[in-house]
Amino acid sequence: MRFDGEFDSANLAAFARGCDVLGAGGGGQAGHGLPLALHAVAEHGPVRVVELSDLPADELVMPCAYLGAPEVEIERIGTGRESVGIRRQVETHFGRPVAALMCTEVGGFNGPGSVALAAHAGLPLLDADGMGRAFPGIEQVAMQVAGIAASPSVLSDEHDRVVMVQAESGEWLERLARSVTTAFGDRGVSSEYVMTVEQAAGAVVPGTISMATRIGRVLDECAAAGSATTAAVDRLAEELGGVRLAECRVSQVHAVKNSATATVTTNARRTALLEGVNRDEGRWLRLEAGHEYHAVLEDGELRATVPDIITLFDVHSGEPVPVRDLRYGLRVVVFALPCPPLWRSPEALRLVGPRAFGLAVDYVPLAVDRG
Amino acid sequence: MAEHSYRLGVAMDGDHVSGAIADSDGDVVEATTQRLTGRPTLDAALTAVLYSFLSGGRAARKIDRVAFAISAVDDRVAFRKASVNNWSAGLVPVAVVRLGAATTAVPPLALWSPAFRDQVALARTCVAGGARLDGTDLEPLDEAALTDFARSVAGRVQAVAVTGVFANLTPDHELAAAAVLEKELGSSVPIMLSHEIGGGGLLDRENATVLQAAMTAPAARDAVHVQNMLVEHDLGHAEVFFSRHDGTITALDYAAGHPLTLYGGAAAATARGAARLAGEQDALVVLTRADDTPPAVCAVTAGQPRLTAGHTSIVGVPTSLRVIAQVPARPTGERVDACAMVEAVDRAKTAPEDLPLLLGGPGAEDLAAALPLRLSGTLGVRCPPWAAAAAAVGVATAPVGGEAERVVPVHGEQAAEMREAVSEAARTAAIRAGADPLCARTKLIEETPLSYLAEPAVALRAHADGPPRPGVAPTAEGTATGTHRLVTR
Repeated sequence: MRFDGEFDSANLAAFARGCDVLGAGGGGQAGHGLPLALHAVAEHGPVRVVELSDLPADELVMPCAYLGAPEVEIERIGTGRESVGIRRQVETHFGRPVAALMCTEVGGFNGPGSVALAAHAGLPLLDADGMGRAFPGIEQVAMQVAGIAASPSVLSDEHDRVVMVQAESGEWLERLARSVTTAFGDRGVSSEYVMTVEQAAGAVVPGTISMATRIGRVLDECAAAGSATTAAVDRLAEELGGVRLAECRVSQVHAVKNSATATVTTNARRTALLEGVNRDEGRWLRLEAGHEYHAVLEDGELRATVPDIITLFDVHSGEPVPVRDLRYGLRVVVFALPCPPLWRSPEALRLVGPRAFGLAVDYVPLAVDRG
Repeated sequence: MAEHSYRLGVAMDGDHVSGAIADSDGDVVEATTQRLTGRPTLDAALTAVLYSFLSGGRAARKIDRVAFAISAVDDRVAFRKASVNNWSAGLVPVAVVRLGAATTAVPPLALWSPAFRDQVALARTCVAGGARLDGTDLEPLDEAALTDFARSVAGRVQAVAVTGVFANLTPDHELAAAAVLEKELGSSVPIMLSHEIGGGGLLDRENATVLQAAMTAPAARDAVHVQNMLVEHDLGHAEVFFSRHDGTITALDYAAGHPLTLYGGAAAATARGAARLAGEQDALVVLTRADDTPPAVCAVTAGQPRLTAGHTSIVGVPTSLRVIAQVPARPTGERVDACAMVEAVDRAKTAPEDLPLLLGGPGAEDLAAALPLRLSGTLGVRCPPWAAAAAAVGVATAPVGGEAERVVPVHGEQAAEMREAVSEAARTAAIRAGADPLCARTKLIEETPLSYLAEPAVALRAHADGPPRPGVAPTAEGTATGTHRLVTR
């Protein structure tokens, strides 16, 4: 399905809502990125959304993302011009023009964040992203699976300081990029996996920008019609091929365990018990989460596993519940959506499957009743 | 002197008035609830409560502290009874200053509706300044730019709102900026600093600070009115307090300068008062209201009502203010039944353990009669004596609070020093808000690990409180100072 044109002040809120659904509980809140996008389109005009076929094959696609801690990002909101410095550096390094900016991570903050960065850089936004959801690691992107070089990493802060890191391996790239981010003060914008339009075909997750918008529109329509959250989630499941797993009450949340020595991907873990309510009464779900929701177990069986997208909706507000806001007593509807197909290959699962997040189980593809 | 002094609490919710007398230790001696027959004014409420208490031979001069919990403050703060167009009537033009030049991704008030923004803001600027997470400068403070800006608005501006990047953690630049602005504008122009409202999130904290600056003039007029009213009731010697958003109270002078923080104060006082009346530290409180607002459940832990994470919308503007977290019991048809209450209780709880369910507020007894004594998920439904006067009890017995927040690296050497500093900052905040300097103490330092940081760090949030500072009780009629009538400008 083709996205109808461009982002402006009228359709950004729906897009942001969809980004939170695709965030699978992580990625930071899209609601915090929305003001950046709204002001950017007010200042620079609408952001055109394009497909690869609209772009010259030998020009560049520049993936971009805000990086660092959400607590820092909501204070140091930056200028949006971070993408201008990055674009200049990328064009100088590669010796060719950037044709479009691509959102690295559509799930959560970076969805609307990328619209802001595209507006300031004067670039259209590609209807695609690197994940189709949210992940914490730099390498957890489709481009890595496709063999695109991550290097160089171009990082910028809000004072137009730009650093380019060139390294021979992902390990060194992440190590050096991380020390730059620390020097910036745990907040910045970065670009990795810059590629040509030609390379990008088959190396990105296509259609995710329009998908997020579609999700947001479905939810908006349901809210306008006064539908219950369960009904809204049922409609999402029907339109997108997902599953409403259960309506539950969060009856236990174990304290988060942070490990300072582990990598960001595995350094947080929490477990919750969900008790079925209403027509799901008598069912018990166990939820495993890190920075995002990773697995749902019921009766000793895995009902959903990462990289499939597990999202919890607050029954009363209808809003997706971030992992960090999970607490006793919440009424939630558990929803799961199959991940983009590229994540299901064995090499992709080594990067983003349950074991990559410290769970000792294998990926079980989500069972969707297509009746 | 102190052994015979009393604290008076007065609460008003529509035409429901309640009063409570507490001794100097904060123990409730007597309470009353009444319905006003005439126009419900604060003066009528005070008259009714004093008539009830003083007819027993108690002298007004024995009351050295008077505290108010008034639901209508919410309408005043949020201008709910007036259309947004009437905002301009009582409000003063505000100069908006942001410390942090590299924050133009969303300039000050950029996302407000243009009409409302033009009503409130006289001028807006971003100057270099602000802090980083670790407390170092984001940018050096541009004092020259502040001076230029102050000169450009001098004579026209009646309040200034200053918001610095990470000022909630490192307020130094806000304090320095205030000094520069005051030098140019004089001390009669109130300068609101965002760290006094607190909370993370630059835009929400800035919005709160600007709204607060805009309402300082009406708040100052209200304060003069309240002070004069007390003089007329022979209570000119007493210190006056108002309930705040979090269930603590604050002295009139501080309240007048920080009116936004009174928002939600009456509900918070009710939750605290009901727990106090039942003698429970941990409980669930059902708040009843005088109007047809459905009853709502709030969890109370260690005597404190649970607060929201922020994002309180006031006049359609998102702010960082935290108010008490209330779960409404959805009425099925005409009335709230046990079933609706069970669900509200379950959602309001913060842990699975059953807790007593307490009732407080106007009409608490009526609701109690409609509910069973035993309710699933609770240790029983209780309507403590004087439950309808819970707000007056809450405000008569509440401490004055203060908070401060800092971020400390986990592996840093100065952790102990930082704990000491954040503790002292909270204590100072409590004293500024009207706590008795001799008794204010830091009670709790919460630690929250921050995620996605390269160097692990924890946020420390210190909570201090102390009893409200006493007024100077006259030894004989009329001889004390502080009984002069204040003159409205």
